[in-house]
Amino acid sequence: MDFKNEKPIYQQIVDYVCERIAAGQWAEEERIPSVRDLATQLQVNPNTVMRAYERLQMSEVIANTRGVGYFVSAGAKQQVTALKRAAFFETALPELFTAMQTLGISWDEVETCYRRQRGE
Amino acid sequence: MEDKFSWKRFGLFARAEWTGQRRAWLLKFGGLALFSSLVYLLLNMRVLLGNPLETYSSEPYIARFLILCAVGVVVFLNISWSFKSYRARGSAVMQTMLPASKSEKFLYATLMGIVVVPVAIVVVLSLLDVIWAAILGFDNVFTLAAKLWDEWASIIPEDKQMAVRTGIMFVSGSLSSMTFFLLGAVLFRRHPFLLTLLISYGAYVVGVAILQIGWLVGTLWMENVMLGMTNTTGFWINISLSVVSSCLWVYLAWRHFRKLSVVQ
Amino acid sequence: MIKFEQVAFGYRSGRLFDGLDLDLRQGAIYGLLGKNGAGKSTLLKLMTGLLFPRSGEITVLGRVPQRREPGFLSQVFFLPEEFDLPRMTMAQYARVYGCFYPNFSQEQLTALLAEFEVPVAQNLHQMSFGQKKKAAIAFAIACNTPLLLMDEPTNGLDIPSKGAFRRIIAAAADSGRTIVISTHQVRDLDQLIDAVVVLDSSEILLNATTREVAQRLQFTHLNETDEALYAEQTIHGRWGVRLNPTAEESPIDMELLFNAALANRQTFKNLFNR
Repeated sequence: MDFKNEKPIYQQIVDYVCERIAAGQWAEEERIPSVRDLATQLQVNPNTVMRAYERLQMSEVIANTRGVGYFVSAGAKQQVTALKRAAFFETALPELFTAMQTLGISWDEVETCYRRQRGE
Repeated sequence: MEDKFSWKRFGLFARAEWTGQRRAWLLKFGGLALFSSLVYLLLNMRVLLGNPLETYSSEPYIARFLILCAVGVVVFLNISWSFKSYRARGSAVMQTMLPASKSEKFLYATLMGIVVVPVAIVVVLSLLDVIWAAILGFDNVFTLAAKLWDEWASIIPEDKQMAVRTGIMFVSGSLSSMTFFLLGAVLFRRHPFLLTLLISYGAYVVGVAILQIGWLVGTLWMENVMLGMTNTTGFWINISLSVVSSCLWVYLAWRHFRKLSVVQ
Repeated sequence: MIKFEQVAFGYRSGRLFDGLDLDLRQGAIYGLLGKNGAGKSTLLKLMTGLLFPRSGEITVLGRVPQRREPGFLSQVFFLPEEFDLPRMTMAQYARVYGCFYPNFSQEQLTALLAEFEVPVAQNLHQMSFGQKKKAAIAFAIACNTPLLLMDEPTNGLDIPSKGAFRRIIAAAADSGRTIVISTHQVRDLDQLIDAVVVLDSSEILLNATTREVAQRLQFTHLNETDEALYAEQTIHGRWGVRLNPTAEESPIDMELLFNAALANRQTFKNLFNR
C-alpha cells in the first residue's frame, strides 16, 4: 500500500479488495478476511477497513452475512470491472485529455501509439 | 476488584515481590553470613592454629558485638530502602500502578522492614553462631541462654526486674527507632538513611543537651526526670512514649505514602 | 472517559499546565503528539494518578485516578517509556502479575509473544531494551484493560517489530477499549489512530478524530504560489497541508499535521472547536 498517494486510505483499501477480486484471488461467494483480520494485515485502524467494506457493500461488490462474515458477491467480478470502467471515464480519460491539450498532442498521435502497442 | 484491604490480594502482592527479589535477598543474606563468618574466623585465628579458647575468653563476645553493630546498620539501612521501588526510575510507575490497595502495599513494606527481615537476620545469625561455636569450641547463644536460665532463680528480684525492664525498653526503643527510619524512607527522595540518621543524631544531641543543662541548673524537675528514668513510673513512661511515637511515625509514613508523586 | 477540567500542574515551582481542559472518549485509539519535553508523559501520569494536580479535576473511568484505588488500577495499564523488568521469565511474570488484572489472558499473551518473537524462557532482566519493550507491550495488551496508555512504545523497536506492533494494535482495537499512545515518532502510528491530540507549550492545540481532520484539511502537492498552512519541499515537489477546498478526503500526513498545528495555533483552535 502506498500511503503517500492522495487517495483516502479507505479508498485505497477499496481498490485493494477490487484488485483481488478482479485478479480472481478472492473468488465469488467466497469468504474474505474480516474487518479485524484485514486491518491487522494492513496495519491500519479497523474503522478504516470498516468504512471500505461499507463502500464495497453499497457498490454490491461484497455482502455481509450476519454472524458469519463478509463474502464476495455473485457477479462481483463483473461489478468491479464496471466500476473500474466508470472510474476510467470519470478520472483517467479527463486527465489524458487535459495532458493532451497542455502538451499539444493530437488524437492521431495517440491512435498511432495505441495501434502500435496492440499490434505487438 | 474491590477497593478495601484484602488478605488474598496482599498475599498475591507479597508473592509477586518475593519472586522478583529472591536472588537479591539471597545475595544480601549470603553477604551478611560471609561477613559474620569472617568476623568469627579472624577474631579466633589462634584456635585454628591449635590454641583452644579458654572458658571465659572474650573473643566470642567481641565477635558477636561487632556482628550486632553491623546488623544494626543493616536493619536500619534496609528499612530506609523500604519504598525505593516506588521512587526508582525503572520501577516507580509499575509499582505504583500495580492493582493492589495502598494499605496492602504499605503493610508489606512495613512488615518486611520492621518484622520479617530483622527476624530472619536473627535466625540466620543464630544458626551461624551455632556453627562457628561448634567449629571454634565455645558456647553458642542457645547454650548461653540455657545457662542463664539455670541461674535465673538465684538472681535477686531487683536485678531480675531491671533485666526484664531493660529488655522490654530495648524492644520498644528499637521499634520506635525502626518506625522513625520507616518515616524517613517515605519522606526523603534521596539518601533516606543518611538524612534520617542525621535527624536522629540531631534530636539525640538536643535531648542530651537539654539534660545536661538541666543537670547543671539542678532543678527539681531534672532530679525527678533522672529518678524517673530508673523507677517504675519511669519505665511505664518510657515504653508509653516509645509505643506512642512508633504509632505516630507509622501514621505519618502512611499519610505521606498515599501522596507519593511519581516524578521519574 | 478521560476528562480534565481546568487542571493546573507544575514540577517544583514551575507551571507546566494551567487551566487545561481535555476530553477523550471511549473506544478510540488516540495518538498523543508533541515535541520532546512538551509534557506528554506528564499528561499521561496525571491521567493515571501518578502525579497530583495543583488544582482542577481529573476524572478517568468515572473515578479520581489520584486515589489509586485497586478497582481503578485494575482497569488501567500504563506502559512508561523507560522501565526495568524483574528477574524472572515471562512465564513467571505472567503467573505472578496477571492475577491482578481480571481480564488477563494467558493464551493471548503467548500469541503476542510469538508475534513479537520474544523468547518465553529468557530472563526478563537480561533482555535487550527492544525485547523488554516488546515483552511489556505484549503483557500490557494481554491484560485487556479498558484503558491502555503507552508512552513512546515504538522507541527502541526495530523495523520488523514496529510492523508487528502496528498489527498488534490494529488487532487490539475495540469499542470497549481506549488506547492512548504518546509519541514523537509520528510516522509509526500514521494509519492506526482514530483521533489525534497535539500538545505543545502546555496547550492542547488539537483534539479531533482523523475523519474530522481529513474533512477539514487537505494534504497534497502544492504549487509554489498556493497558500498553505504548512508546506515542505520534497523530491516530489512542494508537499503541504491547507484547508480542504473539496469534500474529498486525503490521507493524513501526521508530520505535516503536527507542524501545521504548531505554526497555526489559533486557526486550528477555531477549525476544530467543538
